[in-house]
Amino acid sequence: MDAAEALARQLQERFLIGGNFVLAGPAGGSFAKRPGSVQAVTTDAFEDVYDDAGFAGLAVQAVGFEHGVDSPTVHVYVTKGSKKAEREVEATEGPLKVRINRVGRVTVRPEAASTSVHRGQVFVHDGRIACGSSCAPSGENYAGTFGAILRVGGDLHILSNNHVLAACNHTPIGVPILSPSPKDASANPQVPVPRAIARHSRICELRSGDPALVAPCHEDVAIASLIDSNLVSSRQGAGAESYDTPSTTDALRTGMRVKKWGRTTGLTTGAVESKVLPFAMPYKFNLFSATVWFTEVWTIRADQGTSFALGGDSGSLVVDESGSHAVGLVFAATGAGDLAYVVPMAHVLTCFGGASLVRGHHA
Amino acid sequence: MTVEEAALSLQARFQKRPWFNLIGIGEDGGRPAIVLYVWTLKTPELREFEHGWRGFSVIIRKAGAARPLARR
Repeated sequence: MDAAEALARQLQERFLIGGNFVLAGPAGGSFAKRPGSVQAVTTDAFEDVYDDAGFAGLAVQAVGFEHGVDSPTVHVYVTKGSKKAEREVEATEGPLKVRINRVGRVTVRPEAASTSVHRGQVFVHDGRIACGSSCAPSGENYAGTFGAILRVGGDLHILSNNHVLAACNHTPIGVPILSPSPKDASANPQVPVPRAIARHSRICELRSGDPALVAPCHEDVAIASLIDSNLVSSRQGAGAESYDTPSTTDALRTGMRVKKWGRTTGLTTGAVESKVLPFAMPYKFNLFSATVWFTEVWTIRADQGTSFALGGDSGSLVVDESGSHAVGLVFAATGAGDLAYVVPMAHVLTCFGGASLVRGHHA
Repeated sequence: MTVEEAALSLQARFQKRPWFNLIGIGEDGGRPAIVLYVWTLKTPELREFEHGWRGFSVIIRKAGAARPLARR
């Protein structure tokens, strides 16, 4: 492999992991999970120039390289991107030149979509939708995760993020919550068809503004009232590695081993890393494009070479390694999914005037 | 000085630097430590934290941009 091909491959893998490839969807999980794939080809010089921040806003269609010429150029074909991101990509140090090429809108073919590694997952336990499955409000074209069943004031609800169940404060009360999300509907008869399992009911409001002026948020949480308690199970995931939702919580601690089931990545593991000081999170939804400041949020580091959470895993319930305590709710992550952001579970349960996790529900 | 106060002072001093991402509080060898998340590890200024900050260890971790995880 010559130097131009090597650099092109490095760029391609990094774009896949960063979710910049318009055909691959956000964050190439299969690449992230392939042992040693990125580490083996990534040089320090490459890391220096192409850290994650520089990729924001680039929609990449393809990466190519010149072959058989004296001074080969690596070409990056983008459908859109900020000038800053393009300049950073083109600022490669070294003997090779990287050139950004603007190309037209990409047409995604059905067969490409059907082979996507990020097909949403629905977990079924004894004929019922299990926690960790795909969900979304009716009428929305995204997908998140239904994390757990909560008892609030004597009634059963499903738990997820505000930006999943409520489209960032904007889903009207009573709108059906479907599982799986219509985005994840499949012709496969083994995959349940989207059906209403709950109706959107309550949120913890997402607030935008400078933290000196607007109180920072502690959580990104919403609940939806179950339509029929027989439709869902408190089981997390499916198969031999599934487990029932714990009814008790534990405080997050650095080094604590944790795991979760989610719509995109299924069962993943990692370790609690730190409690984050107030920080700003950008939200970009149809009716809510804003910066939200958060406090009391923790980070989870994925196991080496894996992703803990990717797009679609929002709302996943994080439990300790033994599965005996719930510790948090996933709501964000880096593009590669190696660092996830969670709200402490004990805090989530204080929302809505007090709530409790439901265990043993058709589990 | 508590680890929270130390972390806040580090944040106040360096949050405008281009390499600064966010800051957290974790543990190092059973003791409270500052976790400094940076966009890139290749900046000489990070050497300043080799011996800690205000008496606390500083663990430096590279991290990308965070984003909400609803899948479009």
